[in-house]
Amino acid sequence: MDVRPLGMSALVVALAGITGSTASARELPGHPDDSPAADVPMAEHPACVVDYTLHATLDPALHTVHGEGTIAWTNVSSQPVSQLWMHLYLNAFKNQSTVFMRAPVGGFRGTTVPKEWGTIDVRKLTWTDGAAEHDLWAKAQLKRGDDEDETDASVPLPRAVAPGETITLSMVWDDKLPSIVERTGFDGSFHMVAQWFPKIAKIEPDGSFAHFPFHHLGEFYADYGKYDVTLDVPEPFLVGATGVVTESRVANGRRVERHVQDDVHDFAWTAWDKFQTRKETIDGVAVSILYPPGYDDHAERELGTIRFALPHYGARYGKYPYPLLTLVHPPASAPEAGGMEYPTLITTGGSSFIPNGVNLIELVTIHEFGHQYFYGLLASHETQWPFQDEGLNSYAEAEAMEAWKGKSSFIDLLGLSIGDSEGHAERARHFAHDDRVAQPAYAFGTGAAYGALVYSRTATILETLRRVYGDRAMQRTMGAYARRFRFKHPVPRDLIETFQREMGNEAGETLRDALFDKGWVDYRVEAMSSHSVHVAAGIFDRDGKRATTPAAPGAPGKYEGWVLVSRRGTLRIPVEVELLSEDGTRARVPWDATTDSIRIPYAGTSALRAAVIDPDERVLLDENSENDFAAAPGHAGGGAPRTLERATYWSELVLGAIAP
Amino acid sequence: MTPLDPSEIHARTRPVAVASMFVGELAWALVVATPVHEWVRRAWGAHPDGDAVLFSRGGRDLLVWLGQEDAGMSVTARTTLALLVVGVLLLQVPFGALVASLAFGRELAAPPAGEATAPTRATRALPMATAWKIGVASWLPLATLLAFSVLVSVIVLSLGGILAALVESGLTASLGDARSFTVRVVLFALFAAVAAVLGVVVDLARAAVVREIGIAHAAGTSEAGWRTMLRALRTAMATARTSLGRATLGWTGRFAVGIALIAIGFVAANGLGGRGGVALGGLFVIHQAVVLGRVALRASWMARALALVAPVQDAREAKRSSAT
Repeated sequence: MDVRPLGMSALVVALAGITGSTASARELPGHPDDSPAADVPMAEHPACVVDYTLHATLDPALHTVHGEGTIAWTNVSSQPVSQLWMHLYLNAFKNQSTVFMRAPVGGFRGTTVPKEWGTIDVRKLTWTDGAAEHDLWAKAQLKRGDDEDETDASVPLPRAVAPGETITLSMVWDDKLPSIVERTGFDGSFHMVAQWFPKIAKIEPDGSFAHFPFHHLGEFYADYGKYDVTLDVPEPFLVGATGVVTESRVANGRRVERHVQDDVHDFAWTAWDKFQTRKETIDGVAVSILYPPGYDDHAERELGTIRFALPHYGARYGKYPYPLLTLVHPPASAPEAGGMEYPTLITTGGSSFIPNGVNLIELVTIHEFGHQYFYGLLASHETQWPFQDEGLNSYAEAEAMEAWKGKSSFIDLLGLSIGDSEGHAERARHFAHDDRVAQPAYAFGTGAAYGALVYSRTATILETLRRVYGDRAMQRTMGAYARRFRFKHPVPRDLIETFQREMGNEAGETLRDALFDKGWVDYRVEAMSSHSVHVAAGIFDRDGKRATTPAAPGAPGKYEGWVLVSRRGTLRIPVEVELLSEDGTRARVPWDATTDSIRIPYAGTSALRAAVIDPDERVLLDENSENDFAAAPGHAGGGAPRTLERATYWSELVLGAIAP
Repeated sequence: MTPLDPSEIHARTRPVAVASMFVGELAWALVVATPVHEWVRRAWGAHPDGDAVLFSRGGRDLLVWLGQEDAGMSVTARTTLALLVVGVLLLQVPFGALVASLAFGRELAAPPAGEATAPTRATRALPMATAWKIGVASWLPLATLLAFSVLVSVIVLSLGGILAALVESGLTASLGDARSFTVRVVLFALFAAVAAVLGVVVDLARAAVVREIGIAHAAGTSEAGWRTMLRALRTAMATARTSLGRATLGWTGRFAVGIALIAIGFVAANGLGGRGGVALGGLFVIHQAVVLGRVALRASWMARALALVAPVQDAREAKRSSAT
């Protein structure tokens, strides 16, 4: 859009006492490199709390996993601990009375009842404490009261574990995998093995455990540590798993692989006898992709996505620290296994035919890759504050997609152009008043509200801040947050404070209100008027004399007037208002939106024709863009000639096709 | 008024009839477009850039407009659909007139005695009023054939869809879902081809219906519409037995050209995007040229169908006359 400032616009703004500046003026000073937050210190490693050494054997016919191993756990809190909490999340699929299954939640994944139930049975859990071996499982409590849920077990210890002390537990367990449901299970010979081993809940600094049952909408939260896992599967099966392969052998019809990875907080794996595979080193990372037969095009699209994403996210949020990344594209019959993240392993998805131009494959891949940062490297409490993972990651996904594909980052097909950010904004708009964004996953009434608010509303809030305060300011802020809190399990306060520090109190408050208080905003052009400048007519008493000034025609080429703009809602987001004159000139006036309304003075060489709020569509949070503009009285807008032309043409084609 | 010899049936000799059909379609398309146009105009017409905002990249305003939770979308969609159905039925009249115009002509007066006679019959186009009379008389059988055609197509395509899905499901385990999906697409395409061939046969019946009614009109007789339609269907089937390959080939070529025209229209629209003014005017001209071209292709195809049907129809009529 060609924007020519009115000659008097600066004066007009000064006279009106309007403060604020345009978005471009809000840009922070540029940095010489592409990483405005590169100077923010970033931890190289987390505190190692757990050390899992596991051996798992898959029976693909029975869909069972037999596991044995040890857990070395360190009490990193400040208090002695006399009881452990262990998550047995496969039991979420044990019966219809689990917390997961009885949640009345629709509109999201995991809503189908599994055809085959899944269980995890701990056969042995012992602690060798000096010369004594304690059977811990005998006193473990899986159920509480009448609740049938067995996903969150308490394990009393025979003595308290002192702060800083490390204990080693031995365990044996058996998994019965469910038919594919909520990210895990089997479909034919395809096995996605996640949430599959007894896992100690995260210990907090005060000695409490962040333990919770497997909620329908909730995800995970765990301590960092080392995983050394040996997987034993039938020889024809290819394996994808968290961590680097340090040993691999085939013997007696079995394939045995040992995967070792430090600095992660979970371990997942997959095995299938039909996997195709491709490998490529991208930005120093060994990237593997496992995919079904016939999905070579998808594999290439997913690899292409990672070629863009690895350096892009590295520059934005700090370098990806692991030497490998594995992508798993599940078969179409197992969609519940797709679209999920685990450390160094992500699952993608999409049916076999998705045309180029519909960037669904790329979007899912980049979203799941982004989780390597917000889920993997930041590791916030996903069940308590899901927006800190899914929300921030959805923003990062949309930002990355636009940086890669431009404005048509979601769909660019047959003349239809849809951006990912715009899609998020529209999805979120319908739920803005329903619930808070920042609340636990289990507090959302429906899966649709959870998806719209946690994913899309958060992404829209952050994208609005990016567009209003500038790209570099946002890069700096998000980059600082991602680097400063790497491996630190940040809470919402950390995010808000980072925005206040890096982007200013105004932006920080906007973020807080939008996340915690259902903050919203709707701008509206209320009215406008303009007329030629003329001497005021009427009766005037001046210097003790009464004089009548007759109405006179205005001076040619001098017009004045005003535009009344209002802001509804609780958010105060700076915005620009564009004033259009009859002679075609356009002027932008910034408004800081700290008041409920403003009467913007107008002065120009022709009459005012129209006014448009936020002409560059920076405030995606604006609830209704249909009231962001108005034509001056006596003026028509641009009408809808394009719609008439297109609708007529398409009607002709349909009529001709049906009635030859 | 006289039925033309197959060698005389050409769409290029009937530009007025083709233009009438085009104008009829354009007029009704404007009516169909009115609800959606008015909906957009009320929502976005006051914007200084008008509905150009709906065409902007990223599609924010487009999504806002489509995502409104009031009744606008539902009312507009239903009204548009109803207008389309009405239009499809109404347009059978100008379509019948077009076919009549293709099938019949007026013999020129005999040349004065002593002058050389033309080697072939000299004919002129029917007066449009006569063609429209035949179009009106053909409306019911044409509309019935259209409904029949749509019904058959839906059945064939539904069967194809169900069968293709079953086959895909059965092959997924052995071929994988990508390859089995390809099989599904191919299988469904076969059913779509069958539906297209059935459509060709119905087009032959359409041609036969109008020709029958025109001949009756010329003879000053009339017959029940359903009887005419059944006889036309039999004629179409008889034609298909001997000439289905040629008919299908004739239809397919024109269909392909029609698709190419749509592609040209799409490229033009995509290139010009949401621009207004002269660019929008240019796009309108291009789009209407595409529609006119497609109408001409349909006229050309119906001329071909008439040429294939006429000998069969005449032979059957001769046989019937001799029997009586």
